[in-house]
Amino acid sequence: MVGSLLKDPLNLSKEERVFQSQPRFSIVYLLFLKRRIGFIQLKDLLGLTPGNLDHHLKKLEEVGLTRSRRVLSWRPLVVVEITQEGIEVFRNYIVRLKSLLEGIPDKLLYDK
Amino acid sequence: MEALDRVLEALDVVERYEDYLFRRAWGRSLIAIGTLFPLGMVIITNADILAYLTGIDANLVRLVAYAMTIVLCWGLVSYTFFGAWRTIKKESDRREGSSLHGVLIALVWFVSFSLTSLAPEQLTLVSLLWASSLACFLSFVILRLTHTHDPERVILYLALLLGLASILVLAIEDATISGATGLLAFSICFIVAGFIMHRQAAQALRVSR
Repeated sequence: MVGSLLKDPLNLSKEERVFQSQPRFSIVYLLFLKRRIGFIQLKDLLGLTPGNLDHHLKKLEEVGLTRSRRVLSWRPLVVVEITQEGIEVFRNYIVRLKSLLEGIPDKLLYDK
Repeated sequence: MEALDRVLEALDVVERYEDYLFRRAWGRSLIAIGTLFPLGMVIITNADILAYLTGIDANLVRLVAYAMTIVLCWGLVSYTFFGAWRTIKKESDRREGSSLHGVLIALVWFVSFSLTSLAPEQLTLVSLLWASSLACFLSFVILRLTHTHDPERVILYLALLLGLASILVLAIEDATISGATGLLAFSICFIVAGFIMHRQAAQALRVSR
């Protein structure tokens, strides 16, 4: 049991495992804070190719964390949004991550 | 811990996005001001010709042009910044009260441009350059003092260029040429500054490796 705790201290769900890669975590984190962003801005921010970003977005969409849609502007744009489920899953993940850190005793932080 | 490394890297992504939104908002606003204001001034100064062509009273043409310029300029700038700040504003800004910097900057621009109405007629266009130079300089100072975002040097350089342009315009004796030069200088300075901000916004998006 200790062994499994060390391997997976947060006891990740299927959805949470999907954003354990850096690009997908950054996507979900950014969308959690900003709710929506354009595909092109996201591609530049993460330094990914369009195909690479598309692959990551498909993974997130498969578990229902994000969705993409086309918006009509002066040119066609693809906008990526976080879903309500994505907000709740990510929020729960961050709460558990914070409580994991809070579990560190104070004396270990200030002991010399 | 891997999870923390992910969070730190994601924080960097968020910061770059906020930087992009901030610079893009300034870029769009500067281009809007550089286009709409001179256009409005051209209509106002040629109100008599338009009145003759349309049969409408010249004073009414001036009033409508003035009102439309103000409404379009302020409306576009407010809409641009509201959209960006709604996305950018942080919890810490609200606690520290630095979310007021947006209101302060808007006030500075409004007061600066309102003061141009006090200038004598022969100095109207020069006062426009002075007002915009002052507004840009004070915006830079407010951003530096509130530490809300990295103060954008482009705004400071714009302030200096507008100030220099006003000296050039004052040196020209012919009223028509100085008026045209003043408007052209105003427009070019703002539009170029706007495009530089846009380019910096695009650079802010890119990963720094």
